[in-house]
Amino acid sequence: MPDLPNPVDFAIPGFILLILAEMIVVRLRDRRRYCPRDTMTSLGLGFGSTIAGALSLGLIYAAANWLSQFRLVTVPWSWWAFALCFVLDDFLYYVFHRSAHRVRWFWASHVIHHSSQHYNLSTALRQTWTGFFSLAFAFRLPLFLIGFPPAMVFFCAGLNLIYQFWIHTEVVGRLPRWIEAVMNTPSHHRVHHAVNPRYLDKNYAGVFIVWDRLFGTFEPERDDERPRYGIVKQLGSFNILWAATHEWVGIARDMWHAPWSAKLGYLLKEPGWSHDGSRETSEAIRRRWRAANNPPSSEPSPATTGPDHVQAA
Amino acid sequence: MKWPLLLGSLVGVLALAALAWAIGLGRRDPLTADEVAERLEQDYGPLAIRTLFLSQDAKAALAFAHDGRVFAVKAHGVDMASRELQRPLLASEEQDTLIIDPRDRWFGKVRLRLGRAQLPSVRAMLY
Repeated sequence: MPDLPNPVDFAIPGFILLILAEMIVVRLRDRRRYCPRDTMTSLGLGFGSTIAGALSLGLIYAAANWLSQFRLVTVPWSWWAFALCFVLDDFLYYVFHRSAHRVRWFWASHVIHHSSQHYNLSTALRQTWTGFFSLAFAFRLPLFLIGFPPAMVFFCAGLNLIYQFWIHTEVVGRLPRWIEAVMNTPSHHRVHHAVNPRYLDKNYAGVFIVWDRLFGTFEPERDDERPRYGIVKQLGSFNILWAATHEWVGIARDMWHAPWSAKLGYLLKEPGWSHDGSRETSEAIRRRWRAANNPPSSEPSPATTGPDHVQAA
Repeated sequence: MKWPLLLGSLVGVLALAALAWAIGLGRRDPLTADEVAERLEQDYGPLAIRTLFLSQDAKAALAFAHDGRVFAVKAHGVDMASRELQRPLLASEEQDTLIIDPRDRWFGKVRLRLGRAQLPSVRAMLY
């Protein structure tokens, strides 16, 4: 069995150089697109994620090798097996990613990646510290059971991660139509990171946007609606530890205070769910937004812009 | 764990963060009333703001909606972040500064520097 390197290790200098280039472009175009404190938080979270990942890698690798004993077939080391593994791995990434937005237990880890109010290459490195506790690795297990060698799967997963780095930017606009039709692009992924009701919980793809198109979760970026980034309830803090753990703390608090019959709901239902209906899920936010923007013809929209009265000192 | 890689990454992280500061990224314009109202409308809308108090340093705002909701807004990096305040509202004063406590330790307290003439009207709306 070939001993493949981790491609991410080789990509790190490239990540740093691309961030450097993006910073220079942003400095020339609109310096507000980067915020040093936000960047420091993102990079710090990325660094911590590397350590957390290294600590759990051994366990995951052992589990993968153990599961491989029960494989259905033995997939050979060939170019087509790599290609197939890459595509299937990307599909399972889509399933994982969609779950990570729809189940609060999984969201508690993934929210870290969305907690920046900026969208630049440093945001790509804002990665979870707690993915192991949200069972992120479990979504790839079917590949080992099919019979793909663990080293091949981990190599493809690394390539998938590298691909996803460069799409975290506002510097690249839209790409040629055929690319936008098949591949995940900066434009598609800006939508995914946006909190605009129209864009919430859309475009879960890793590399191939076709999964979203197939399963009805695709939303194109619109010229008349610029994405606003972050999470529905913005953190309002640059504290790295809080960014890494705030949703876990929220789950613990909610489960503690909830009646017994509702406790598990705060772990297993979607973010924003509450037993008394006092909060909003992404679907509820979208419904409210649709109602406000498309009111019945007899009712005027209550939405207004600008305050009636401003008292600036 | 690959220690040279880890050390190299750490050096890279610190160098990039230092560079972001050095080349002046992230300078923001002061908050404006329209900008704050627009953001609140986007985050909590539909929303009709009745009165909005903007801090003298343009780093914070307090907004009262027609439906009785109250919002504290603070500059956060080059962007802003807000909280809908729960009643009873928690606020204190230090000379001409109103300090709003949104009951969120990590979000922090929101400090509005207001003119002495404004404080009575804010008080009247707050309590």
